[in-house]
Amino acid sequence: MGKTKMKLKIKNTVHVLRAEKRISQEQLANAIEVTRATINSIEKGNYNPSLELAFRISEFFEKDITEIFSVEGRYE
Amino acid sequence: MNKLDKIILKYIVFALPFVIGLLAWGGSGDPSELSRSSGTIRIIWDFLGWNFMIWILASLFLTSKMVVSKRFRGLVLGKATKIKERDEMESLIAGNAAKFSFLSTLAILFLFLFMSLFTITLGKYPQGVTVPEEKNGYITIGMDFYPFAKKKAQPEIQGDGLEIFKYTGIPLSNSIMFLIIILWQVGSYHVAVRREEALLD
Repeated sequence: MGKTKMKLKIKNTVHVLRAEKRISQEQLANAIEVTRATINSIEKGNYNPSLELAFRISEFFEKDITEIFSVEGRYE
Repeated sequence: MNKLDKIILKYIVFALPFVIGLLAWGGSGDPSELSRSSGTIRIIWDFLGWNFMIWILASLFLTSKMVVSKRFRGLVLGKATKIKERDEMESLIAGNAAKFSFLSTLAILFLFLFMSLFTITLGKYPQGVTVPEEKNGYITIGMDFYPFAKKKAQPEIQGDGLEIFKYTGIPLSNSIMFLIIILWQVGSYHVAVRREEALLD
């Protein structure tokens, strides 16, 4: 019924960058002022952060936003 | 929340056991006899009575303030119903759960409205009354809408006939209906939060 929405599948490297920095999800969550559950959901790809939170994450890791978040594919 | 609101809120919580105590005491004995008593019993009874009156006034003040003040409502009810919005993901979950809760409560309210509108009567014709097709019973279905409360109809005896069953609205008190709606809203919100969290985890 009606139109189907095209969604973007976004992947991220937060888990890898966090491992490189040797910090826990809790530490990252505290640094960017979100809950640990949010970091867990972002790393698993279950939650796409807002643009503001994505910038906060990129600032924290001192990387360009596109180095952390990229489009993996599209699905309906 | 200002200092007065905090004091009133604490009073409502801490004075509640005394209110329940008064209601239990009054329910188990004869209140008019208790109010005529003397000595320590009279002092305790009077103290609990004044406490009850102040508690009712304080509750009325706070519940009225909750209706008009968005900030106060958010602080008190947000805490009481454990709504968490510490970051954007929790805000998203809270928003989706609130939508679910709002729509399901609306559906329940429509159901209650419909149930309170229609009437059914099942009955038996009195002996000797000319009835169509020699039937001895009847069923009537109708709709009723009154803006003000009216006495609920009971089955009536009409001659030899008897109304076996009469439905003229939801057979629940206003308090129970409001309680059901409140419990449903809080419960459905939390069920939706758990579901959203499970999806995102």
